[in-house]
Amino acid sequence: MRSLTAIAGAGLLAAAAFVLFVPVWNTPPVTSEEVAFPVNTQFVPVATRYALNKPPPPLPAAAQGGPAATAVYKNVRVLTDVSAAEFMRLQYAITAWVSPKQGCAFCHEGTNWASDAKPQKAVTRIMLQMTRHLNADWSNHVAPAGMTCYTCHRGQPVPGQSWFPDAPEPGHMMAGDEDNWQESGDTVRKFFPDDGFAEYFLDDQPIAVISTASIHNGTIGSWPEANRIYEMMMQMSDGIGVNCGYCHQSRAFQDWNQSSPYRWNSWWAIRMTRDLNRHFLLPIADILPQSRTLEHENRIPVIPARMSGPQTGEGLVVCATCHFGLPQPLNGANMLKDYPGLSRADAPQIDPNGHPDVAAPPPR
Amino acid sequence: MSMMSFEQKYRVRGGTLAGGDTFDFWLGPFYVGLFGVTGAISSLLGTLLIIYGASIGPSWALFKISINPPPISYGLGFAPMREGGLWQWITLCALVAFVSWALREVEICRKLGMDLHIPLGFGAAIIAYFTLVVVRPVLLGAWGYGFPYGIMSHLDWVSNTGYQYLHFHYNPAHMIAVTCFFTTTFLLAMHAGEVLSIAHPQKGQPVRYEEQESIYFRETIVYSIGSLGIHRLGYFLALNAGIWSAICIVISGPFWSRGWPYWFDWFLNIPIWGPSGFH
Repeated sequence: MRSLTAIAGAGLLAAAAFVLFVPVWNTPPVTSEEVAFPVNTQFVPVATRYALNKPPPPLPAAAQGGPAATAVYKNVRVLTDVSAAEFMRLQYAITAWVSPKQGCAFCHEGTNWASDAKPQKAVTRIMLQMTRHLNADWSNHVAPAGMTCYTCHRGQPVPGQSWFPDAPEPGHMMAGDEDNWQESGDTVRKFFPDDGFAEYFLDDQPIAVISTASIHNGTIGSWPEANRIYEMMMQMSDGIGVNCGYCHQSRAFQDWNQSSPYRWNSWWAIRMTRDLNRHFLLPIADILPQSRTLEHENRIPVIPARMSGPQTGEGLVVCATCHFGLPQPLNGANMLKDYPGLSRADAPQIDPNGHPDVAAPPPR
Repeated sequence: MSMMSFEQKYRVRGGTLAGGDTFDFWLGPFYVGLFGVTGAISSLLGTLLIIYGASIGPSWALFKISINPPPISYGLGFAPMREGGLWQWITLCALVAFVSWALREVEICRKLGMDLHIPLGFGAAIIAYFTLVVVRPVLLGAWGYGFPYGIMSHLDWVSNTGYQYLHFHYNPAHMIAVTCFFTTTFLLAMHAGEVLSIAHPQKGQPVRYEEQESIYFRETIVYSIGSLGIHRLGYFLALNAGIWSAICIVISGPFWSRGWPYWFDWFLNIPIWGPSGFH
């Protein structure tokens, strides 16, 4: 009996030591933001997320004036409204942001700068159009900080937080569940199926599943639909480093009257993401199909070793693609002000409720 | 209320913790004592402050009345009465009232020559409340982290605070607390059923006692913990329910500010899995 007590005591001590030292606890003081008084607060994300979101210093300013880029360089199609000096400065900036290891040759064929031989150059044009479109037309979500190539790329040719729709894996479904659960990851959220993102970030599926009637009256969504909305919302929560209460009153998630103003930002963001994925990211898939490898680091896409992993398709935009775990990408740093060429003045307003012409199914 | 014939011998002098003989008397059936006085004053003051708070609030509707803690911006300082100061004084009154009640229980235990299990049991509940409205707010640096006093508003607070951690049921201490809560009520129900069934025998059968109870449980689950042991176990579980409730909320924020599901990432990150995580 005495030895039993000693064994039980040692076991308890070992369990207590494990719980104290193995999980990565934080310690006070913890800072937080009051989102909606008096019941909603938002803890400020952990320091590692700020470390991921440090903007690089701006390049030295280009000389004022001078000839236009179109007058000096051949085959300039997107950056037609900047000076030649600013154009060249942007070329250096893009190289540093997107292909620092690969250099100019990542897009250009040798020193024939005007050549359109490499598909990466066509992709870059689409990306520049996207960036200018974002900064000019989506001020509802990206103003005032704006966004640059670095917001997503962070020194990698393929943004590290892109969403790659999974290839269906029949016969590999975890525990016989019909959902396509992930089978590896370093955090529990990475195991969630992300197939449903396509319904909300490519298609116009309404994000509404909560019944407003006390008794089920047939207006609420299905159980799988609730699952997919949950997975998409958890992606958002993790991607921008906030809890549910940042936007919602948990008593009535659907009720705008009880939501915080941040919910507007997210509402615009979802429309913006649909726009980007349909009009810019899907066209890129035709030009330059990407892949990611599952070997060792399953979230880091590899270029140019294309089609090397089982999960192929094109990286698409989700919340984390820009945000990298913070409510404001790069912690709100305004890089755009140093690179005026990444926006344009003649900004036609788009209709966020309209149904754009492209509503393609997700790539498989 | 008149005193029962056998009650006289329990009404003994002494055993007070403070106040000497000054308050060592009964008011009808109630023992007073110094802590009866402090408890009555603080609970009356606190209740009146709640009523005053309701009177300056937006509504007299019972479900809408809420005494809110100060905004986070006041930190750990005093807030104006209408901006959480009321909450601070009501919290103080509540704590004085609860502790007074526990100490009055101690005095009665001492008069009756009993051990202190009852005030200690009540103390576990006080510790949970104290942790919720004092310890955690102090660790987080603002009284605003306390919960609002209102029927609906405190439920909203519980819900929203739960969602701050995405899924509070993944809080390991919450798991233990909930398990203790349910187990102690489950055991109490079984024990009550057992006592009542022994005391209400079938027609023609005599009332049986402890040994029969033990036989019943030996027949059903091989083991009987005994008539004293079942109370020890229930008490242990009930105390743990309160204490683990306090632990589960005090670690939420000061020691874990992310979603509770991510706490379990240690399972994925212990170095026994493949290079890309759990397989």
